[in-house]
Parts: sequence; structure tokens; C-alpha cells
Amino acid sequence: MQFNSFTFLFNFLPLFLAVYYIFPVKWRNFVLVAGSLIFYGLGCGGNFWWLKLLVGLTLVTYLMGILLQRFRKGWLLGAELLMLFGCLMFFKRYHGGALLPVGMSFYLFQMAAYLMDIYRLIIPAENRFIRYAAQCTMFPKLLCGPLMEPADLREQVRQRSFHGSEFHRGIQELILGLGMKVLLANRLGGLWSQAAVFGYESISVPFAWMALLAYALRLYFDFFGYSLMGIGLGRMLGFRLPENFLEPYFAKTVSDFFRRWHATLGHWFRGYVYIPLGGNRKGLLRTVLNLCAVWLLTGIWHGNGGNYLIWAAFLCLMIVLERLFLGKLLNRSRGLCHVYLVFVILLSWVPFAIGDWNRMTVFLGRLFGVGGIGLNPRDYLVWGQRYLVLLLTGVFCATPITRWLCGKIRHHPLFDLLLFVLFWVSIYFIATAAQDPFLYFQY
Amino acid sequence: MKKPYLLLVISLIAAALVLTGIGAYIKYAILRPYGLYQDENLIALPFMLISDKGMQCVIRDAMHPTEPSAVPTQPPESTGEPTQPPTEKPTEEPTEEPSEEPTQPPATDPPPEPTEKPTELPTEPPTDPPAEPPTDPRPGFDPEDPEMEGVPESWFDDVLFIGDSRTEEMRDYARLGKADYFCAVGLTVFDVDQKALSLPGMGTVTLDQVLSENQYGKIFISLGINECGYPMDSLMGAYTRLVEKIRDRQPDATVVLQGIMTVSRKKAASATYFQPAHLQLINERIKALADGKQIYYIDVNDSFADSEGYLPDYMSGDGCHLYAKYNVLWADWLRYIVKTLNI
Repeated sequence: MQFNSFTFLFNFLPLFLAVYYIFPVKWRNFVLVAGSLIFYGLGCGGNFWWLKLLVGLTLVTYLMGILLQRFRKGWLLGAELLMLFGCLMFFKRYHGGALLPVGMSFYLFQMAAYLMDIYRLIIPAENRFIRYAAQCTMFPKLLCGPLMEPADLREQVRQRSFHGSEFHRGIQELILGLGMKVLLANRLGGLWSQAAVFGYESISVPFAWMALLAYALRLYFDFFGYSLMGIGLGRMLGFRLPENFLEPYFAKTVSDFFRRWHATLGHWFRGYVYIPLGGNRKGLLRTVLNLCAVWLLTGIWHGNGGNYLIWAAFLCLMIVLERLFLGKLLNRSRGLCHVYLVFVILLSWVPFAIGDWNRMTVFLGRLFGVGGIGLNPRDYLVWGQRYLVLLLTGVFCATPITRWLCGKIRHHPLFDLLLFVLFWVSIYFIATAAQDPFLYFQY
Repeated sequence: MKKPYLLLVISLIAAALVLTGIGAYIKYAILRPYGLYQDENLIALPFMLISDKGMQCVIRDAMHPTEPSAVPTQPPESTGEPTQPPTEKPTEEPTEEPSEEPTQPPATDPPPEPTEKPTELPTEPPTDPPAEPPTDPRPGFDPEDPEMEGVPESWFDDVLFIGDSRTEEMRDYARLGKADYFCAVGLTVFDVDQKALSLPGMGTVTLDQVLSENQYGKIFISLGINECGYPMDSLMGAYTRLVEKIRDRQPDATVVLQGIMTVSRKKAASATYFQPAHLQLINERIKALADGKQIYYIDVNDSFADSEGYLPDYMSGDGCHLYAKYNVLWADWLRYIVKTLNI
């Protein structure tokens, strides 16, 4: 069940909140687990083995945690992690990817972090099953994160407080996230898919860049919006989930970009792969190798296709270059940094977005005016005019100004009025999605 | 807890309740007797009713079952009764006992793809099937063949094309002569005479303005794929009204009705109304409007579709719209077919 579905917003959420707050505090973790399982069950589209798998893995890792606490052996941890990641790889590779249970990459990573932290004596194993189950299954972060520090998560599940003001802020974040996803991401996606509809060989160079920019923004608002909705929902239940996106497109370097883009995943890889491998403390060669290892895993994590490996390899190369000499060079000028970053990141989305090798090269060629059949060199005018406002809004909303602005006016009553309108406009767009001329694959 | 905090929550809940109430009224009190839109979400209904011209038309038709073949001879504007434009609020109409139930449960708009993919990663890009480089891009029609050379492009100088995104694509990638194009993404027979479109070189105009300010020799209509999920009678009622209106406004123009181009096999599998058989059914009805003298019917599927009636995969990335380069083929085919039919 997606956060931006009618069932979630108008049926599940109000009902869940009512039940959650009617029950006394000590019962709330139980309500949270039950609600989350219902949430997951409703969203698994008839594949009820997904739900069984989630419950099973939660139970198994719970027992593993206790076992690991009692016998703190490296091989035991190894075996447990092997089982978890084996599970993930199995469903990713051998089930064709299409059947990968929703959210599995996220909840398995959360479970793995839990086990590793027990081994490293950062946290003790959780004795109460319901508490552990709440950590693994809580619906605000079940489907796509954010990933949390196990210690932080454990603490919040044990004890969290309720403030009306926080609840209110949660709703604000929920609506902002919804708006980003429905009004920006979904609509910008239309321009990107239009390029595929025409066929990459036929589009003009400006059209190709415009479509790529639309893709970059769509990806950002899609994921950021969804994360923000998750954070808002968490806040409504008394949780403080970590931020996942910190104006990534305004980073200075590629490594900086990935500290701000899907930050909690980067944090996870840093904490559980890069630093255990030695980080940057064992000489330049080891540092480079460690970075390669992290990016190889990042590439695999993102998907099944070889295109994700190309994407990861390209970014890894840029990060290594930055570490070697590019970083110093770029440090001289802020403007240069920016142009460099946007250019590199836009290019990196090409293999991320296009799985097929031939079509990927055709699109890359069009970006630089190579190949193509140039049917209409002015096609960007029609589509540019149509998407100009949306693209500009997207770019503006991607700047740090919006966060600053929201922080300033968050307490003003007019902001609430704005959000009220934003919410219903978003609902209008969801309700009439097929009417929206900008939506994917409209005719 | 301070008061201002509550304001947003309370207003949201209140608005949701009001909208649910309106939705429930529409669904149960108005639409239930006709069996229309009973699967829709209550809150979605008021929004849909505002924006969906096709839905308004279907509801009005259900409330006032008229014989769909009886087409008024006057333009719709001059009289009120039988051919009110579909914007008319259906709720204002007194409900009568319907003489016949709509045979087909109306789909909502044909929603092509669900907006959300239930993938684990929201960042996952749309997966476009790889396009095989075509081996033979000319099924049944060969523009290279001198025998099949059509009329010159200048034949289209006095043509008006009325169409949806498919026609718009042809305008941008395979423009024919100095033809005018009244087309927009998502345009349907339900809203074609109500929408003001911003068109290159023509400004923002309605169909009425276009028809009254220009004199055309031939008018091509290629609509239907967006509205193919609506009940046949409502769809054909609106289609017929459109044709009548054009005949009335431009009595000297020849009207050319284009059959709905089919979609790919994969696309067709997404909804029953995309099946070639269903589109064929609509096309038969469109064809019946043609008289071979003033109104012609042409069907590109004769040349483009494969043996089972599907649009071949290599011609389309999304299964519905031609790749830009095949619009050139479509345009060539148009030149050929009008010559063959001696239009």
C-alpha cells in the first residue's frame, strides 16, 4: 500500500491513528506491529508469502540476536549475515527481481545492522519480541526506509513521547511529501517518458537534456517526497526518523552528493562496510579498493540489471578521482563545483534510468548531438513550453531555499492554510490521474 | 496542546467528511440506479465528476436514455434539449426511470498504467522494453513503392486535423503541408468542443473558433483511444454530435474519420477496452457514420497492425504512441490512402 493511495490516506491512516492513541502507551508497540502487518498485508497484492517472509525473518533475526548475545562468535555473525544476504540475493536474482517482496532490501538491511551492532557490543539484544518486531516492521519506514541506527531505533521503540506540536509537524511533512510526489514527481515523469515514446533517436539535443533534467527531478521528488511522508508519519506516532535527503543537487562534489542523497543508505554502507574494511586509514590503495567495494554493493543493491553496475562504476570513478586530485581542483571555485556536479550527476542517471545498452548509448549520443535522425530539431519548443513552469518549480524546490522558507513560516497559520489547499489539490490529481495530461503514458 | 495545532487536523477531517458525504450522495443516491461508477472511492467521486467530461456525458446519457442514432440536424448550441454539451451538470437533471441499463460497466478513464509501481524502490526508473531495430518497418504499405506514392503534401494545405496525442505527435514529427492541427494530449470526443487549446501559430482557440474562422476543404478526425473505455452509446453519441457539428459548420468540407489505431499486445493486455476486438467494434460504429460521399472512413490498422490486430512492438515504445519516425510512415500512408479513395 503506497502512502499516496486513497486506501492509505482515508481508510488505513485515520483508523490506525485512532486505535493507536486509544490504547494506553504500553500497548502501543503492539498496535504498531499489528497495524504494520495489516499495512504490509494489504499492500502485497495477494502475495501473502511476502507477509509470511517478513514475519519469519523478524522472528529468526530476533532469535539470532539473542543467540549472538550469548555466544559472541565471529563465525556465528557471519553465518547469520550470510543467511540474510543470501535471502536477499536469492529473491533478487533467482526470482527474477519482479517478485522481490516490497521493502525487503530495506528491512533486511535494518536487521543486518541490528545483528552487527549486537556483535560489536553497541546494543544489547532486544529481549521483548514485540519491541523488536516494532523496530523491523513499523510501517512509516517499512517500504523504503529511512534506515536507522539500531541504537537510536531501539531507544525510540522503548520510549517515545507525544506532543501535539510534533503531531502537527508530522502532518505538515506528510502533506509536503505527498505534494512533492503527486504534483512534482509524477508530472515531471511525463516529460521523461515522452522521450521514450518518441524514440531516443528522434529527439533533439535540447529535448534530450530537458528530459534528463526532468528525470533527475522526478527521481528526487519521488523518493524525497516518499521519505518525507514516512518521516511525517513517524512523527505522528512519536518517532524521529532521520532525514534522507539534504538538497543533494546543491552538493559540491559527488561524494558530497551521496552524503545528501539517500543519506541513510550511504550511512549504512559507511558504517557497516567501508569503515570495517579500514576506511581511508590504510593507505591510498586500500581506500580506493574499499570505495570500489562499497560502490559495487551499492550497484547490486539498487537492482538486478548491469546498468546499475555501470552507474555505480561511473560514480565510484568520479569519487576516486575527486579524492586523487579533482577535489582540490574543484575547491577553487564554487560555481565550477556546481556545474561539475550537476553535469556528472545528470550523466550518471542515464545508465540508471535506461536498462537497455543500445538505447542507453543512443540517448547518450543524443545528449552530445551524435547520431539520431533529427526529424524535428525544434521539438523541444513545444514540450519546453508545456513543462517550463513545472521544471522551474522543480529546480526551485530542489534548492535549499525551500527548506529555509518552510522552517521560517512553519508556525504561521497561513502555512497551514497553504498545506490544506496543497493536500486537496494533490488528492484531486490522484483522483483524476487519468485526466492528467502530464502523467506517464497519457495519450 | 495548543489550539492552532488542532486547526489543520480538524479542517482536514472536516473536509474529508464533507467530501465523503458528497461522494456518497453521488454514488448511492444518483448513480446507483444506473449501476455507474460503483467501484469508485467516495472521496474521489466529486473530483472526478468535476474534471471528467466523459463521465458527465455517461451519467447524462444514463439519466436521459435517448436513441443514440437520432442525431439532431441543428447545431447543438441552437437548441437546448437533446444535445446539451456534456458540461451540463448531471445532478441538475430530474432523474427518470431509465428505459435500459448501460450494457457495459463504465470503466473510468482508461488509466493506462497505475501511477505507482509496487516495486521495492521508488527510485526505480520506468522499464521500457528494449526496442528491437526494425527489420521491415513497412507492414503492408511501402512508401518507396512508386505504385503507392500518394497525393502531394500540398493536398493537405486546406486540411484540419482533429486528434489526440497521436495526431499531435504527427504534427511535430511529420507535418503535412500547411494543414491545421487541433489536437492535444488526452483530447476526447467528450471534451473536444469545450477545450480551448493553445496551438502553435493559432493562439489559444476552441474548436468553434477554428471552425468559424477558417474554411477547410477536408477535416480529419482521429479520436477515440482515450475514451475507448466508456460505454459505447455515450462514446458514439458524442462522436456523432462532433461529426454533425463539423458538417454543420463546414458544409463544404469533406470529413475523413480515422479508425482508432490499435495498441501493442502488451498494452492491450492491460485492459479489455484496449483489445483489438473492442477497438474494432468502435471502428465499425465509426465506419457506419461514413457515407462515401461527404464523409469517408479510413483505417490505418489495415496497413499497420499485425495479423492479430495489434500494433507491432517495434513501432511503439509505450505500446500506444508511434515512435517519432513512424509518424512519417503514417503521414505517407495518409497521402496514399486519400489518393486511393479519391477523396
